[in-house]
Amino acid sequence: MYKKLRLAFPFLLPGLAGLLIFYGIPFVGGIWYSVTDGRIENSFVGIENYVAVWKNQMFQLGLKNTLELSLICAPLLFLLSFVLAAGLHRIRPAGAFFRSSVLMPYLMPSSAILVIWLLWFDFGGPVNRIMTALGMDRVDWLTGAELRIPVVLMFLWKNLGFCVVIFLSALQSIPESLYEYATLEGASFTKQTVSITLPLVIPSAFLVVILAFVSAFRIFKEVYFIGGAYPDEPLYTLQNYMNNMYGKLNYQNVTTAAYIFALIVFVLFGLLFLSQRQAMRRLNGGD
Amino acid sequence: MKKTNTRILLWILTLILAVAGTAPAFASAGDRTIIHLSTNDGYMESSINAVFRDGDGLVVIQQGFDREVTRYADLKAEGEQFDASEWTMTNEKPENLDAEEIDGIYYVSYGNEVGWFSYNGGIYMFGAEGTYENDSSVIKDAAFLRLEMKDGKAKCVTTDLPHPDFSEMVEDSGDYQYMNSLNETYVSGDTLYASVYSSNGLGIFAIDLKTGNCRQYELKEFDEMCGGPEGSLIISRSEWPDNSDYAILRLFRLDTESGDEELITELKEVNDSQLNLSYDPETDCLYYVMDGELWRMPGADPEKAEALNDCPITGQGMLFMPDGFVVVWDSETVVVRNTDPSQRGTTMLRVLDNGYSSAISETVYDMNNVRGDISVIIKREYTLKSDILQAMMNRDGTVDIYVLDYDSNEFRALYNRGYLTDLSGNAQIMANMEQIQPYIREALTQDGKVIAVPLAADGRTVGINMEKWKKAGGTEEELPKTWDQFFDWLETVPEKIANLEEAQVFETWMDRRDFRSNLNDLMTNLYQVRMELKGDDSYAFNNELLNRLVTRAAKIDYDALGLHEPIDDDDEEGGYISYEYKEPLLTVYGSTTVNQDSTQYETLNLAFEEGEDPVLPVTLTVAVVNPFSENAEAAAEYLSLTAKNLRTPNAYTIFTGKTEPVQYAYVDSQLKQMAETIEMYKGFLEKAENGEEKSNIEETLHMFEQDREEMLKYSWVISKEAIENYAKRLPFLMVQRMLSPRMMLSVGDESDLVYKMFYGEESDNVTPDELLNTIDKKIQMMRMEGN
Amino acid sequence: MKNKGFRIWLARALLLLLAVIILLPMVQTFLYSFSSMAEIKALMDTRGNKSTDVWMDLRLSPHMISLEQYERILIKDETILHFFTNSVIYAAAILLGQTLIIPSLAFALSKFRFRGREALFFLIVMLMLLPFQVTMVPNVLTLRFLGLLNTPWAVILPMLFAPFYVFLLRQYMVTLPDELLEAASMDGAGPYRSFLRIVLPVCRPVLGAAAALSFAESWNLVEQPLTYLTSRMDLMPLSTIFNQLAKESTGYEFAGAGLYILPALLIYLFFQEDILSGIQLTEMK
Repeated sequence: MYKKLRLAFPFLLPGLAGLLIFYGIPFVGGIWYSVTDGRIENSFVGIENYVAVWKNQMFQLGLKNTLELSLICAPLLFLLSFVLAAGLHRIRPAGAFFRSSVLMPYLMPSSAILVIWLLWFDFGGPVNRIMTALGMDRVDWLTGAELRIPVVLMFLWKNLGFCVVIFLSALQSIPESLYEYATLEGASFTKQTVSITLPLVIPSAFLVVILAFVSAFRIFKEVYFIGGAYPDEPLYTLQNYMNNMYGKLNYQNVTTAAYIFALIVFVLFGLLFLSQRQAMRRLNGGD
Repeated sequence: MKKTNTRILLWILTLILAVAGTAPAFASAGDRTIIHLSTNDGYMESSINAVFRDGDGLVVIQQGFDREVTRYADLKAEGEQFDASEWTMTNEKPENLDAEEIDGIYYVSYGNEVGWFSYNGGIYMFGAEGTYENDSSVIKDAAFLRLEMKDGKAKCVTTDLPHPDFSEMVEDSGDYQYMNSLNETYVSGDTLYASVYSSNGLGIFAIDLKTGNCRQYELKEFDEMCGGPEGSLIISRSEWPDNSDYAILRLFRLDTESGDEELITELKEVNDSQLNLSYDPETDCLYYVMDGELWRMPGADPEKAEALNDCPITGQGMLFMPDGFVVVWDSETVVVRNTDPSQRGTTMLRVLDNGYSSAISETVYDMNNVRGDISVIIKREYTLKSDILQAMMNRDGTVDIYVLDYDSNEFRALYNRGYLTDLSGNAQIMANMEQIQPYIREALTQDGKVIAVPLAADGRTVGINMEKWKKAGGTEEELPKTWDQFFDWLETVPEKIANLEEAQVFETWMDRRDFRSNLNDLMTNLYQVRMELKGDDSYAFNNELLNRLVTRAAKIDYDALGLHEPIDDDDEEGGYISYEYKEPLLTVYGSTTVNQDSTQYETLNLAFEEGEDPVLPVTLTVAVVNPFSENAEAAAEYLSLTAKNLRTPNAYTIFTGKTEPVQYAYVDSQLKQMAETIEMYKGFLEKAENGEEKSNIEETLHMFEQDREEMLKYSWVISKEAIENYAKRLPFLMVQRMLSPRMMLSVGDESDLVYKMFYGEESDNVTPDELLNTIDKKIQMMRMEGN
Repeated sequence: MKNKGFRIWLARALLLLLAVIILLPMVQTFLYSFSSMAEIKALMDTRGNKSTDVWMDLRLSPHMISLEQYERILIKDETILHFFTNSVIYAAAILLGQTLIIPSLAFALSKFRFRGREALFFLIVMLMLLPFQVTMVPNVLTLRFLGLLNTPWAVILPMLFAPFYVFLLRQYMVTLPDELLEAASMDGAGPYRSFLRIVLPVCRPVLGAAAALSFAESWNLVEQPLTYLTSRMDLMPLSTIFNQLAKESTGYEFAGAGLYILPALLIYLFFQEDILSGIQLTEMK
């Protein structure tokens, strides 16, 4: 719209300066830490830190857990929110109450909610009561690999609403006439979903995927509250590694680990972007 | 290349924020240490009671074995001592004061010095007179006496001031009456104000010097008091917000007429709540010493507060002198400081003391003598709040000297990354190094360079009272050599000492939980030290050996060892159990270094496997120089002077060739006094008329002899035994380089876990497997993360 | 048709159940906040019992209604209130600062055409994806250099430029028809006036959504304060200290949690429609 850069300056500069100071420079400056040894001479060591960190068992454990948790959380979130949104879309008139309640957790401070959450999952708590009522044995939710379940559920609880709302609005923006026409044409429900619903929700779906992953990467907050700096192995995330290295004053390893992770994130999202484009093109071409 | 990068980054940031320049600093003209009493033995022969301004000069009143009164004509003058031998004598019969008359001389003792103050140019003492009989005491009278310095003599003479109404100030605990001392005395007009620490807490008294009437202010709890503007008082209250390392200090103005308070200002991020304030009415400024510097705050406005000069003491009192000088004093030290910040020198040596080391603070006075041009500012942080490595990353040279524990994570990080200045260039440090025990010397060097100077040493393992052991018929050969043998042996101990009436196995206050947690802490730590020494870092704590030992500590026959059930703090009724005192044979706090306790206790030098050397660690507190310090040379010089200011036990631990036992300084005079008393009673004995009297005196004499023995026994700062025992341990001693597993867990933000595993009520039910697996899991994770 | 109606009712019932489960943590926290402290302590002490014979006595509501917990945290003991105030200050300062900075940045990124605009936007999206730890160390050193470490600014300032909200607003502003602004400039309104008079009012829903979401984030800050305020525990927001409250039960943790949830709840109820429409209008293009 406006083409003169001069006019944009007053809008751009304050925000840009801040982004530069608190995100840009630290991000670029951080690279420096990852390629030096942090000793007093601070010599350049090339990729030595990267090799060392990559080989570190705890880094590997953290990376593995973070990726695993993300790969559990994000797709679950995606599927659940799509199913719910689709369901909600169909019974629109009564969805309001549900819609309000499902979005509410997104605003709730998880630190405060965790108090009751952990009570529920206690060995003698209500979740286990339900388990026994259903004829199963009690599970020790709060140690070992089982601890992942309350954490994942907490994640879903918190983020579900946001994604449902995004999907829902995408679904609602699809003109009803398209479906009517398809039904007249004799297209089955599945066919309708694939050829009408999917292409039109792809931009939103893509957003949900990104948000799901971003939030999943940030699951550390809850992990930290439950397990502290050194939680049981299945819950030790990459952020644990980075935070602990920070506590040990090893800034080289913190930044190195951070960049490895950033690289993985970029590659992952790069691929997502590409696949989105491809999907859009194929669908458009298929019409 | 790399440097320029950092530079550019810093430049950009500087431009953005336009950071102000740093202020220069230092040793101002006229600064002086007038008195500094010190001892490395931990016993002070004398202390400073009060210091007063006298014209352009000072009067210092000291109390040691004798009273000393010294006058300084001005701040540059040498002291002139007054003879205080006639302190309480007077030729005239004092009116309305109790005085004992002997040969026409009246002795006015009022020997309880309740407080000192200056009024109308005179120096006054508030003295109390009491009687002591049969373990009870009564305060009979109190009076104001004036200090008179005439013809080379100092006396306390009677005055025209009225009798003070002291009834409110007498404390009564049953039969025992006493008066609490008047502190922070301040005279405004004709009223003497003083803070008094009583059994009801801290309070303020106001005594009218015209009438002697006494008024007490009803105040909420407060910390310090000083004079304020227009006859008011200023009181301070500090608050430590939960979990905060810093206090908030609030200053209130107390209207002395109405007793009303009004908040005047708030100081944030205060390190020390006992900040001693002084008010100078001439300039309407508050003065105080904080973090090693003298500060002035005009008009109670923290924004305007400014550091004026360095100051080695926080001070009990401050005097405002001519030409902008102040005198700051406490019970050991009197210093003069210039308050003109423009006269501060340019070399400031900043020390961050996280080790609570007296050696560092004592060295200031030596440094002032050697390098008067350098201003030394010591800031204490009992828990380390400063991020040293961050400072290093930012190439920050603000702090020149850091005092750290050798086994702390901070020291380790600095050491591993070579952020420690090479001190080898300082000849004195190198000469000191020659005298240092080889095992410590080795820890202080890195790649052939000296990188730290030792200030204190400590360490512990199980200790045994050998005197008692031998008395019980035990021999050295019977003592255990390994931890396994220790537990076998422990089972036989109760029987062995059963015939010793005065002894028991452990301290009376030790309960089962204390015993187990201490032993577990000790054993896991020693095991870690042992494995580190072996260069093995792939071990697990839950191994067969350690598991067996921890199990044995949990399974031992507590009743036989006299270890009672833990007393629950929450239990309101049973919280108090009294025991008769018996000397313990064993302690889990046995010291591996030389100190007072090691006279009594020798360490049990236990190995983990037969044929191995015992593990005896020593933890060090050291001082290092910041590699980015601009005053590295001065800093090294400062550290070179610390060697002679070490506390005696530390000196004996750290340096070689210390073989002479050290006795407390008071011993000679006390022995003399005891000898006199004994002689006197021996005289009585000769004159004794009947058998009963004779045996009574003999009994008393016997008691005196026993007292003398007892006094001699505890008269050693460093005893012959302590030195010998240390020499025996020397081949096995080593400097601990890592935090103990327990400490490591608490540093790793797992403090509640430590409580659960070691000390808390829950630890009673923790199995050896659980304990060791927890340590393994956490520490293994920490270790695998690397440093 | 009857069959379909039944299915819809079934779906509704299921959704209702799900909604109840979703709301339950909040509801129960509030209910428990009205228990006596002794009851809470007793309950919390039964945690962690691994015996299969024992159940916790965990009911939905307290035995007896008591305001003891609230009395403790609001009147008797100022600790919670102190940290709560910190949280309020952080959230308010962050929100205020963001209002000044983020909409204009988003405006510049959406309605101005200049070289590097797309690249810039791409960078912002990338930054948005990164977890906090990636820029943690350089940030600490920068803040330290600026003398802001261990001050509230260390927490507030970086948050003012949070890329996520730039992204959110920009996505919305892009969809605004250029005609809107063209019409305004015909009437002689420059970009400043158009921004204030036209763009901001039109963006109301997304602004509301962004504000609510940002509030949720700053109300739940954990990593930033723990990293930037290491030596100033007194500056911590309430979110960082629940752990300690609950681990060794203080008895008033539920009132604390209730108090902490309340502002978030109110904000949600107040901005609910904005949040919904704001989110609905966002998609990835």
